[in-house]
Amino acid sequence: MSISSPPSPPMALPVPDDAFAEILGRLPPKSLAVARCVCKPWRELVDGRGLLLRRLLPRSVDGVLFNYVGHRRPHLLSRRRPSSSSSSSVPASCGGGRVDGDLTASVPAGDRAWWAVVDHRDGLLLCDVYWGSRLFVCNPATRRWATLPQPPPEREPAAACAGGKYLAFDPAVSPHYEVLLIPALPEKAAEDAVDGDEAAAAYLSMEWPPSPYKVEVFSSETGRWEERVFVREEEGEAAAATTVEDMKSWEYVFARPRQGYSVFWKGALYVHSGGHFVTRFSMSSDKYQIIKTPIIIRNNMFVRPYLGKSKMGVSFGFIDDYQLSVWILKESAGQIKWVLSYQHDLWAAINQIDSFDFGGHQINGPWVLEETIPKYRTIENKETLSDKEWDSDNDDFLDTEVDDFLIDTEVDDEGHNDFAYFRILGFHPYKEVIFLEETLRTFAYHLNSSKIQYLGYSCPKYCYGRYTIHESFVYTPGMIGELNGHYAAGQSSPQ
Amino acid sequence: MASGSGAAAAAADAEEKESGSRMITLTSNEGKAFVVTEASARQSATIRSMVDDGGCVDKGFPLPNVDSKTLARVIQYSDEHGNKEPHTVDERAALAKFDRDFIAELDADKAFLYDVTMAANYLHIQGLLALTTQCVADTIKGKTPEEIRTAFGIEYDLTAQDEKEIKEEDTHA
Repeated sequence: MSISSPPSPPMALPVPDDAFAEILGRLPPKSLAVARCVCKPWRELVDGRGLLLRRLLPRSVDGVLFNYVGHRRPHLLSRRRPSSSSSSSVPASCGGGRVDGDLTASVPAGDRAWWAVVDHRDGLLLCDVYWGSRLFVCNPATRRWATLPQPPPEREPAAACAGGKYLAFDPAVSPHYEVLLIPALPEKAAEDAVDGDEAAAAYLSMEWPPSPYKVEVFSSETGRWEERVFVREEEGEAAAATTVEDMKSWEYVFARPRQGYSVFWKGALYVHSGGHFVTRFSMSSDKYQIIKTPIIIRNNMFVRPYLGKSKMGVSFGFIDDYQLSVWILKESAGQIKWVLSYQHDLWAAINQIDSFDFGGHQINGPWVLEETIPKYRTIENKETLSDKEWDSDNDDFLDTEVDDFLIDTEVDDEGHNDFAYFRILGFHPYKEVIFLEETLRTFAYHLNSSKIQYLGYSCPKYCYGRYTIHESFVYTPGMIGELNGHYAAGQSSPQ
Repeated sequence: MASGSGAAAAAADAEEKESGSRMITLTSNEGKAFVVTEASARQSATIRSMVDDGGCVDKGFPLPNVDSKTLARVIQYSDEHGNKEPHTVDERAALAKFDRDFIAELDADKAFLYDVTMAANYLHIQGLLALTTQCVADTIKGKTPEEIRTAFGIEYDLTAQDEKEIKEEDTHA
């Protein structure tokens, strides 16, 4: 047994490959790029082990993306960053330039009037312009974007656009992404309208989804839309037929997400129908499978479950009567089942967050909403003025440690608030943390310690009235994603 | 094994009072035997797994890849980290200071630093490997390719094609 030494010049790699990879792995991206230019063995090691690539993968959470009901654009609530554009401080998380926090430079100029984020995957955002008239994919960390061509009209059922739009992307596997248009439920047959009840019943008991299930898929590799046919997996529980009633989304009281949330995990796209089922599309085998949600939720309930990717994998979170439950999808020996992994009583947290009473105004937190102030807006009162300064270079809160905002759920029992309405904003993909919202205040809830941490106020300053949230996505900046070389003008990254 | 080198034996006495732990013999490629506490030896994932697999604890472990000088230095590290677990703030600070001094000394002798890195890699001593690789990484950080070549005595062997690639990459950087 001996340590193999590489057949290169004596000192080129002073230690064996594994140890040297360990050394290079400790370098920041910039030094890694330099290391590639030293000599052949170094170059081969950096490239061969994908060291630089690994650095470009998302590794941290930058913030939470919000779409608001009736608001023309989404916003990102994130860590404050120095606002000077010459700043060379590079967030280690994204291995490169500054994230476009106000989401303007990374959006096609003609599409900024009315748009929304419909899906997010490892740093790439799938966005919808004017309620589905156009789709584009953008990356706020690289400020690149690509507008997708229109799906072929001859094959495009009207329903296709009304259904869900989802992003399949795994930067660890490929820089290319795919966009799936999952068909909406079939249309009701108009002639049957005479016999209302019976027709409705017949409609609800129609088998859905069909097999084969036709889905329009855009591939960034070919730059084209293609019809992909997914066949239903015929095994065990998955074989049981599902109907329109099973797949139709819950009738929420208000401000529901417009399409079910999704996860891309190990080459498969998991889409929550918004009802009692999750559809799992395997991108490699062209099969799909139907998985029951871990709980059955009655219509008209004040709950909004969240299907997302947590540290543990595909996760389903749900809050009912202040009880937070999180299930993890486990697959073993061909069996798929939900395992209840966390249960927390948020009641204790409510009394604590009450100290963040905001009386209609935003309160400072370590995370802020970056906004460009429209020129035509006049600042009406002093308070807004000070809010504006608060975002500036001389930000007093820049150094604020997130931990300062940790709220100990065990102290202080006074000042009870007997109502709070939590909503799950998403899961932290790398930590045991879930993001929660309560009347636009954003919190991080630590699942292992039951501590709650105030992050910031997520309402845009320049808005009419009080907003509610349609959808939210936990944003993890990444540098990878093939976006056809579109650059937003004047935004080349700083040297 | 009853006999052992001074430092290891003293540490072993202290340890034995608490847990009655075993002593383990590590033999360098020059045939020199080093007797250490099991706690110290367990800093190495390689040895830990051999011990847990019911390996030849009594016969000791020959380490054909590690010379005596390097092994002695590695043991100095694993004794410090394995034999006493830091509980107080002061103890943790003392351990951090030990690490700083330990690596500063190694940094002054690069060839020896690489030997210790290789041993840490072979023995899977995570803490030591982190310490030494970080030290080498710090040497690379912030230097130009030319400065790195000088520092490591590397011959320039990139082809015109490589250079062209590098130039092209630079324009995107």
